[in-house]
Amino acid sequence: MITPRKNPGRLELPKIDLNFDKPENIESNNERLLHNLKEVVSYIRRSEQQTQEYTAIGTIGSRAVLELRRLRDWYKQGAPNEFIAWAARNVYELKLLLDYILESEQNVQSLINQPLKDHKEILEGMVGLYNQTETEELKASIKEFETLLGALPEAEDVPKNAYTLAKISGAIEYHNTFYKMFSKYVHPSPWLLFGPEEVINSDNIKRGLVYTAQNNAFFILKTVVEKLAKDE
Amino acid sequence: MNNKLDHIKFGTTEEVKKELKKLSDSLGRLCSYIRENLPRTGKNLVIHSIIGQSQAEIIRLSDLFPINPPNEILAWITRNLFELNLKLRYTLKNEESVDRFAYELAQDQIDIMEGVLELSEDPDDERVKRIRKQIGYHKTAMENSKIKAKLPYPTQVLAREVDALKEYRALYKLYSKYVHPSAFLLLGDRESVQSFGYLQIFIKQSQIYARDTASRASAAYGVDLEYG
Repeated sequence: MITPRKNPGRLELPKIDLNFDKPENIESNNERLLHNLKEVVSYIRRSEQQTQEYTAIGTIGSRAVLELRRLRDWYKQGAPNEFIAWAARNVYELKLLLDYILESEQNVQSLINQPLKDHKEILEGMVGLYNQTETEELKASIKEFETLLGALPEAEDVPKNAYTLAKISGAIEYHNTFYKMFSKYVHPSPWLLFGPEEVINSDNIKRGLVYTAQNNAFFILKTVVEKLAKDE
Repeated sequence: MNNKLDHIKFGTTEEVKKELKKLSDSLGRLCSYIRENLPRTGKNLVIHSIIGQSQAEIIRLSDLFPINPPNEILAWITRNLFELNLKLRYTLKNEESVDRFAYELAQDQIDIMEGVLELSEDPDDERVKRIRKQIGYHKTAMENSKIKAKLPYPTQVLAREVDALKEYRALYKLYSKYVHPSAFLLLGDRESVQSFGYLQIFIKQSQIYARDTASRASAAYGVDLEYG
């Protein structure tokens, strides 16, 4: 367990027994990961180094906490495996995003710029859907985003698909195995529509999904703790 | 897309719930009609599953919407209803749709089983051997299928095939930004990300997609079970 210390670089990595064949540990592992991730995020927020990189790391960590909390609650409530898979996939994508921003300062800048680009892209899609007044409002907002983006240092877009991020992260093999599994549940795939109900929502697959989420949450925790220790 | 917006409402929580209930009942009646009156052909089974899943998504929306869920949950449901709508349109339009879904299902099963195998540590476990055998069976079925296609089919391709590219381009990016942990979701202005404006879009579009699905299926079967 991580104990509060003034210097975030001295955070320690907890020992968590992540083992697919020990379902009795699932709930306690969720709690421990949640607790430790929250501690790490809190340290980052209180750190004296309020850099863009720390902002990005803190945001990714904080989202991982939210996804893990959802995963814990849905698991306890016996929610359909689609929900568990969605949270598990998101934790995995957060891990990829963390690896991406830790690659370079340029990548951090890309992530910082990206929300404005994303929002602009959303509004551009909507132009033409609504009446003239609303369209004019949309166009004005798009222009506003362009001005805001112009004031930021230039940076490339964050890769849009997880496959590209997995390549950067060196996780292609893992990606090819597990991402497909997540996708079958997160989209209304033929598997979800026509597959055998007793397998689709089986406990075995549920456990597998939780196990992958916990592993990726642990990777996030490990990566951040090691990064903080290195920065010290 | 059938753009009869007269039933698409955004009012009080109770009013929206009432509309969603009507829509869910309508989809449920269609499912019953297919089960009770039509032969068990591949195409009818596919349409039945798509409508059943659309109903499940609408019920989910109706259950979650009144408790103020974050917008990403509503976006996920909306995107699923859009994808289901595209699948229905594809099924109605193409005679080979059933073969294509069967082909995709075989690949899905292989992918799921390979994921499960990755979690198993003992290669000599009887269950592992059984799964490997099933994977082989599905691979043979795919090789023997008359469908030869690169999988997965991206949603954009499906949208193009059913002439829905305009709808895809208009809103699919919005859904994607919410359904994935995108920069918009992580670092975007919280007031915008969780705004009532986007919530309204999700609630309205969900109804539009599900209603269009019900209308098209009803029309294809020549029955008037679609609404109210």
